[in-house]
Amino acid sequence: MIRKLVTSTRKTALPGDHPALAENGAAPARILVIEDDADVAESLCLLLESYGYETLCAVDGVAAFERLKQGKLPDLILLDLMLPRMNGWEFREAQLADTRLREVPVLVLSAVGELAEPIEADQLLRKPFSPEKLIETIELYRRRT
Amino acid sequence: MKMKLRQNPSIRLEIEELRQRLHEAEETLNAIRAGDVDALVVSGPAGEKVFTLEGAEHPYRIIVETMNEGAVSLSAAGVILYCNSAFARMVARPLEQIMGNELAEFVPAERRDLLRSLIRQSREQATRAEMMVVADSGTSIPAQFSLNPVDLEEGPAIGVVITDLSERLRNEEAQAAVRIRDDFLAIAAHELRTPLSALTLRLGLLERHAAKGDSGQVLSSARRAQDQAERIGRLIDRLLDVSQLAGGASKLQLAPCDLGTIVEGVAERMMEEASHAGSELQLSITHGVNVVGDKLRLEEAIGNIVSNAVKFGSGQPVGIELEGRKSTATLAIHDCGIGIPPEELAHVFGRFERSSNSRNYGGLGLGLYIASEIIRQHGGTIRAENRPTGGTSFTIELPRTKILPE
Repeated sequence: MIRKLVTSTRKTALPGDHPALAENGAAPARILVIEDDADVAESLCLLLESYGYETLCAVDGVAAFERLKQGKLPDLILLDLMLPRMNGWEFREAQLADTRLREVPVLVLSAVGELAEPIEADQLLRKPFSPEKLIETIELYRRRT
Repeated sequence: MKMKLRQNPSIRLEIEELRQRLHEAEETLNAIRAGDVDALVVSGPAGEKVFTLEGAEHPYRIIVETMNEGAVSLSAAGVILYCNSAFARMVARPLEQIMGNELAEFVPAERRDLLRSLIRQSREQATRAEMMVVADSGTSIPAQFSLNPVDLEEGPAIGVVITDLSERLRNEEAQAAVRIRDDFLAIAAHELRTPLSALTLRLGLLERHAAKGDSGQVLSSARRAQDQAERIGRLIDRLLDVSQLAGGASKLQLAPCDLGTIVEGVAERMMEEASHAGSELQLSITHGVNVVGDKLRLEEAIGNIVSNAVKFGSGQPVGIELEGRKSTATLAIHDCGIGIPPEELAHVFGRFERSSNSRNYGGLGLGLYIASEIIRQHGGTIRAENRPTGGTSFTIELPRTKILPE
């Protein structure tokens, strides 16, 4: 359970230009961004794409589930908490209840100072975060398939 | 063994004396019971001793007189037999002008029957109620009435303790205000962090494009970063707006204006936001409905209500209807969205208020407050109702003016 921002877990080398590309030339890592603020979602996706990630976007938990039903699973989910229809907590609960989806690691991105309710997630990044911190954390947690 | 009493004169005398003493003792007890005796003098080996008969009643009288609560005893019919000075202070009337009146006279007219029925009920069992106590001066204070059956020698009566709740209510209000402010600070921080985070990401992107020497992308990222900085600026303006409105410092620039034109302008401006949310704006405008108002402020107020309807409208159409009645302009804005819990309808226009239904939506919770303040400053009214078919309807009414052609 994560209540507060964990500043750093371990040191990694600063990400290179294309950390998302596997050495053997396999498909780039796929990231699902669940974020209702259009500006944040767009800038997040563009930044991730500039690092070589493939991105998918969903405005809330309901849309995210629709995306997850089709096609290949993402290697990591970036999850905002305050979302209409199905919020971050509800999404996470439903995701953990699904045997196919539960394996996908989740980084919570939140602008809330102190979480009203704790959330079970791999890591929490508090907004605003630096692009370097974001890439570093993604590289720590993403699935390598 | 039987004694032959008659045959012994000394015993007869002794009996007579004891009978006399018994009679005196009985008389004394009766006098004490009747309250005719204040003190008893008892002779003993150490001389005479005085026993006063105030008993336990005296300290109780002092307590009743010095307590902060009003204390009143009532006849079974609800007439005041006795009251303490605290009650006299509450109703701002001298003690002697209170006794003999009905207690119900000291509560608002519309609550009198309720109090009478509580008094009847309290002959059997203790009851409690909160209502206002009205003073002669017309001022009233919130109070709790606690009524208890009492058995007096004169017959059954009712003891009433009346507690002034003003201070408790003031404390509760102050605590609620602090809570609302704390919530607001948390929401404001959340709302400011969101564009700040978009700004940080844009700058990160800009840095990457600059490192690659891609000047086209650098320019586009810089522009988008600028957009986010402006968004933060608008949020701050909105916060300042609220403190101005609350302090009454904002001045209206009044001029005659056509409300229909204002509404159309707002709808045009909101079109993009609405289509992004999947909502269609359906306009039904009567032209020539004129009001005297501050055009920019009215645009802001109407814009806030439309934006609210779009935001909580669940992607369904939002209706905007302007009608001119005889002396009022009526603008109704309705959505088919999540609605507002009935118990929260009365508070939606409060500063920093956000409906519990809106917790997962962004926003400062200031839009409706700003709108209602602007409408109020224009001498108009605004109300929110849930629609039977789902969603919420906001109705703005503004005083209409006739403008003669120049």
